[in-house]
Amino acid sequence: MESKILFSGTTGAGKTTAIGAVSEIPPISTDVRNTDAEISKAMTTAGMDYGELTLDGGDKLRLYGTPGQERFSFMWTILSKGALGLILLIDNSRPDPLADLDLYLKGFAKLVRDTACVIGVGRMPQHPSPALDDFAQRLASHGLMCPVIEVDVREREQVVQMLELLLLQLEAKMEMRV
Amino acid sequence: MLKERDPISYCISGMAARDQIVFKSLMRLLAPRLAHAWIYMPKGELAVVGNPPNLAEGQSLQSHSLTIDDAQTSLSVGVNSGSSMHHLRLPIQANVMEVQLNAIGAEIATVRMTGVRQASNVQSRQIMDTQPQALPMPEAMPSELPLTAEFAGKLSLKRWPAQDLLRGAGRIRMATILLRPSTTMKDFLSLSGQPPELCLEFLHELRASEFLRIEQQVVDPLLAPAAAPVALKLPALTPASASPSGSLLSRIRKRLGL
Repeated sequence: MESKILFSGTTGAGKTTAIGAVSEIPPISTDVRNTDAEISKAMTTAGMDYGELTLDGGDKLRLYGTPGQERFSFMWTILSKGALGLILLIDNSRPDPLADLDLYLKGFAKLVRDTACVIGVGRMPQHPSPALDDFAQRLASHGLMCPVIEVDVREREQVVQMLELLLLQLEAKMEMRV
Repeated sequence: MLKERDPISYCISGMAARDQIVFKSLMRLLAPRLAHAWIYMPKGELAVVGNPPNLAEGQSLQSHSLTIDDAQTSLSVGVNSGSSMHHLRLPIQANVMEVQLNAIGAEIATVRMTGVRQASNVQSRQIMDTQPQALPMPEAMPSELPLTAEFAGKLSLKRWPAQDLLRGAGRIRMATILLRPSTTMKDFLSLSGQPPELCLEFLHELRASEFLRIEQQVVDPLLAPAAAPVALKLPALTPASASPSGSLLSRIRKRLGL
């Protein structure tokens, strides 16, 4: 039995790092040299990231990081199929993080509606605006409500916290279906 | 809504002089930690009442009742809670008292803002009423229902809380639990992993800030003796391992060290 959780968000938000923080294998990334002048990092994920956790009984929990760029949004739909939930990472240093949120909520609308979602906002100490409350309000404008937290994906416990918040929502949905 | 540290008055009734001194001393000690500035007045918005009443010298039962009548709400202090909405068990624990006062202060702030008098006031009157059956108990609006550990209604979030409310141990987790469309108090307390006092304090703050949806338990009076509470009609919280999916989630938890 295989299960998967998706990590998505803007380029540079830390999807690869987040997966690496919890995966038991070094994340497999399809990184390529960055040629996008707007993105200040040497390598970027053009395909996807992959990490995994082995559960009791030998089952695998697969952790997929989607490519950040909108031009790869066709992969978002493919990767969403069968996913348990979505962790959406927002880079608050970008020009319009709320617009980024809109983009991904639209791209993952079905997954977010049918499963569970956690919004992790990074780089807030240097870029406090927009505030977490602004993200929550924007979610509400989409008719959505899910945890919105500040996160530093380099810290494993913070990535685990996001996963726990995802699990709490999933458990509630499971109970509703019983 | 009240600004932080706005004054709220309290009075004491039905309590021996020695106990009054102890209570006031605790109030002073806790003052820097409390969300509101509590000021002692002969007639206050909060009536702190001894339970069972132990009338101070010179105080009549009638004056005791009037003091409670004039108050917005009451806090009983003693070995049993009687019918008062708020209760402090003896011996008083400072941390519990702090939580109670902050919750009561938030309720009074809400009443000041909305002008809605709490149903608890009626309850508090009944403490001293010799014929409590003579006073019909009005139905409380959900927003006025007492949020105690025994609350039998359902709880959920109206919207994700403001960050100011989420600073504190386990509060993000507690808010996430309340994302469920209808959570019972029992489930909320058991899932939160936090002491009940902290859970209730969080709920009171959520309610005061209008983030909390409260649904009253509805029981058909004709079926009351046999009817199951509404909350029980919902799927009860089962161990995560009860279903294959639940089993998966519990194994993920275990793998993550949760």
